[in-house]
Amino acid sequence: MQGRKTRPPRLASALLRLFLPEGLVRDSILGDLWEEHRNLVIGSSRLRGWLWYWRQAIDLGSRSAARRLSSRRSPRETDQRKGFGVLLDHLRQDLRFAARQLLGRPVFTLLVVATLAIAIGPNVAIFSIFKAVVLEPLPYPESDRLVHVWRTDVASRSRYGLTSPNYWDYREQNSSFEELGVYNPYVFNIGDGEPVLVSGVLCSASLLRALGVAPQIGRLYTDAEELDGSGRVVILSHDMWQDRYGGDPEIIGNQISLSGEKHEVVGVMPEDFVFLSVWSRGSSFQLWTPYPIQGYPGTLTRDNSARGGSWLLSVGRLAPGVEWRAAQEEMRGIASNLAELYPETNARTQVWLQPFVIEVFGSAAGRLLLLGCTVGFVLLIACANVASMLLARAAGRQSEVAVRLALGSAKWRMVRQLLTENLLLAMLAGGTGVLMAVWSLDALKGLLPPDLPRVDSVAIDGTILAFALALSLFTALVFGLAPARNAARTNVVDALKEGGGAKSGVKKRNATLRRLAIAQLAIALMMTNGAVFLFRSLQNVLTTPQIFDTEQVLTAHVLLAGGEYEDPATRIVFWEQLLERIDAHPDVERAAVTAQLPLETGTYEFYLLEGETFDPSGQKRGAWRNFISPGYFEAMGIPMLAGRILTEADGGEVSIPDWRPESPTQEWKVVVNRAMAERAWPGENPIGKRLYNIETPRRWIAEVVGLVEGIRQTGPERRSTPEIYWLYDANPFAGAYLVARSRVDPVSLVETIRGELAVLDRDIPLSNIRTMGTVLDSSLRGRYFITVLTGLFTAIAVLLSMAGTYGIMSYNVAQRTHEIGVRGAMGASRRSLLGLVLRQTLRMLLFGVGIGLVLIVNGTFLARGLVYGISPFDPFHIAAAVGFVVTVALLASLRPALKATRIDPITALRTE
Amino acid sequence: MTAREIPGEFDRRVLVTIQQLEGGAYAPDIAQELERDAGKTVSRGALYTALDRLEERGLVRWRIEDATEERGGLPKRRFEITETTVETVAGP
Repeated sequence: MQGRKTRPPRLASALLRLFLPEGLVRDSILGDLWEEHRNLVIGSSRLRGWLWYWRQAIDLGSRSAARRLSSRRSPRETDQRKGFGVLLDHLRQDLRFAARQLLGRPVFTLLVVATLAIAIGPNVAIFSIFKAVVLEPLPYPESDRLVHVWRTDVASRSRYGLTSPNYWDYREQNSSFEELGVYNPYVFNIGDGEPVLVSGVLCSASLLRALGVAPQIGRLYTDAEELDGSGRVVILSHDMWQDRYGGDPEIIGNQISLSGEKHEVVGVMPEDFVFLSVWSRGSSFQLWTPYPIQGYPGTLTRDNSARGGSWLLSVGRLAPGVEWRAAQEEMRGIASNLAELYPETNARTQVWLQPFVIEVFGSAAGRLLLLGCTVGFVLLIACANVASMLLARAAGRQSEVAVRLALGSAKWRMVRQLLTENLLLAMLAGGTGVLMAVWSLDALKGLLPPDLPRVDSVAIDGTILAFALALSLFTALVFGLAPARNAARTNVVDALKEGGGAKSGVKKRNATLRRLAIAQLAIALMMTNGAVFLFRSLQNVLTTPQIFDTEQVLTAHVLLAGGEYEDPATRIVFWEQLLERIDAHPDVERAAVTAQLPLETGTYEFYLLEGETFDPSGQKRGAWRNFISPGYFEAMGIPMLAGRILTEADGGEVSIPDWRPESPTQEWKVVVNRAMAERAWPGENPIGKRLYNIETPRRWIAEVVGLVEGIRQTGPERRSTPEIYWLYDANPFAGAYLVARSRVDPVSLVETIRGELAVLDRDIPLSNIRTMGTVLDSSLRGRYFITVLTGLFTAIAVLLSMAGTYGIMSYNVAQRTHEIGVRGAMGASRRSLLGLVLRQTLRMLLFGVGIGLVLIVNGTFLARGLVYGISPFDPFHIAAAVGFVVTVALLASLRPALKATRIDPITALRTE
Repeated sequence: MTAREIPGEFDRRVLVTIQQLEGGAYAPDIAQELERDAGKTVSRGALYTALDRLEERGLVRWRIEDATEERGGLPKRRFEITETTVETVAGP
């Protein structure tokens, strides 16, 4: 650690290596500096050492560059080279002069640097997130050959996983893929020691080969191990290997217990391996193991009866030279053949390929780009602001410039001096901005939505510093353009003439200033409007009734897998016993089990109504399905609208997954939600209606016995869609959620519940413990993130443009002192003088608001997906944004306007 | 010795310091001595440029010493003055 701390700044020493001639001398100088830096760091502080090193590196580098340029010459080149050496010399002079200029006006310098830094900082911070999350190459070799394979319906844009028999057909019949594999994120109880639930991945051996990962130790598992079931095998993540098994290489070949089943560890993934899943985004996966041969959660069966159930995520590696669209063509051909062979299940099945990188980063990229635009606009406003300050200051330096020009200073040299000053300002601001980004990065990371991948690797590194440097240069160019043009246009004679003579230059400068102010107002308006709509949308989401109780309900995940729990009947009994014990507790109002929590999606099924027959080529009726115990609605606080809740007596004999063609049709009772009733039986009473499975043979008939209010299954801002509630017994999921409604603070129930669970089986952990309030909150994290940051950046933008307007109006009043004095002397009232100044603000506002509105109309597409419960063109809210910006601008010009009314005519005339 | 070859003020100081630090001085030591004498910081750029200049004029020479870990494994140059230097430093 000591060694890392005392190492000189990498970038600076890299620059030195570049500029010093290669050889022993260079190495010895680097060694000297290394040693001196080290002594400074140890004797004083890292910062002092850092600053010292950079100062020496810049000094030494520029001297060496100048020397090399002037010494390496052929006779003819001498003059030119000398010219270049001279140029470098001039640059040093310019820099020194610029530094003196800036130090001579510390307040002005501080203001400019602060203005720019406050805009550069957020840009650097957002870019560092964008780089780590999106720009870093995928952690797989030749990742551009990876594609995601989806099943879609021919008519709709919905997409599903693959079904197991279809996967085998695609895999065996295609020639486009080098490897095609499938996976599902899953959870496992790790049984040896303290029981814990870990996230892992069920995946085919071909999937790991497709990703191109090589284990750090051990090996990948083979197709044979996956298929013949001869051994249960597992590959561990590097983290798990370190944390749980102490990094012991002897782990290979050992047995560990996964959900009650012994598995042999065959490999450990490398430390930098990241498994990017499109489901359970952002999870850190700890192990990889083949699909089980039988039982839950599912097998890679070739049985044609399984062609209906889409649940496998699929990733393939294209063969070298095959383009993904060509592969999609081939896969669609295979899908058409399958549709002919199995019309019942495959008639409407189509294949859709998507490059892996878009699949994994697409949505994150969109959200981050939106923020990137926002901070980009803040930077533009800051540039406009600084440009105005420089222009106004240039007015003060006009005669100095003119005198220097008159004394023979070259105009280009003057402009260059100005540019050097700008460059220095921008660099100072860039440095400060980077520091701001470093300080704010941790807070920012805390705000990031949980589904953003690779957040851990967000850091300020060399690329980010280079970006900051480029951004600062760009900034210098943008804010320096108008002032430099202005200086280049300076006319010596005009400038030397005091007062009236310089009018044309003044006019041009004032016009530029006004344009800059208008641009700031327009951008500020657009951003304010965006923030208004985002905050309003957040408010709309927060006040949207979620139906379920967010206050008193505790939830936790319980996984019953492996060993005796392979038998679904054991799981049913286990839950009955657990719920009975928890219900008996005086603080618990009601406890229940559910396969799925509100807002977190779930599984979907298709059904037929009474009298309908299945048409494979037609649109199917679908609904979410959930499997619950009778107390669920009471525990979750979902109101009953009609009929009754389910009872233990409402189940069939055979659960849905266990049904075999020789079993009789099972009769079940179900409860449906309002959306389902409205969709299936509009205007009718749903109680007593019947539903059927779509395929023949007829596996089940479900009779509706109750109607409940609809919860939002896919997110707090989505509509409630049709849902069918079955008894848990109909499909006893191994992983399910305990839901307990409490009479006291729900969090206080945790220990009670843990205790009851341990009484039944001490090897089963209670995991993912949350209140429903937390569940709601975490589903809103993405929206909070965008809204809070947009609000923050807009506040900065508005403050900056307020300062800009204030500055320009003050400058304006100062310039018109004489004119205002004359008007005062002629008897103009204070009110009319006030109006004189405010009218000018209003004129700028008129243009600013006009342009801002055009930007708003054209910019809504940026945030379209985020506006909720309100039209993006809602006139009231746009008017509110306009009103806000107008008020701010008028307030900003009020002080200069009042100052104008206090100008004493006599003094004003005398000063002229 | 012509006027052009007479070292400037700074170069003289460097030479004197090297002479004082007998037995071979290396740049950080020279810089420290110079800073102590002058009571202000000495830019390393200026020092190394001066050392180069003095070497070109044959007034100093150096030898390489083995690398150590405190220097990131980089070599060390020890400077010493040459015979002609004594006269020069003593000056006309």
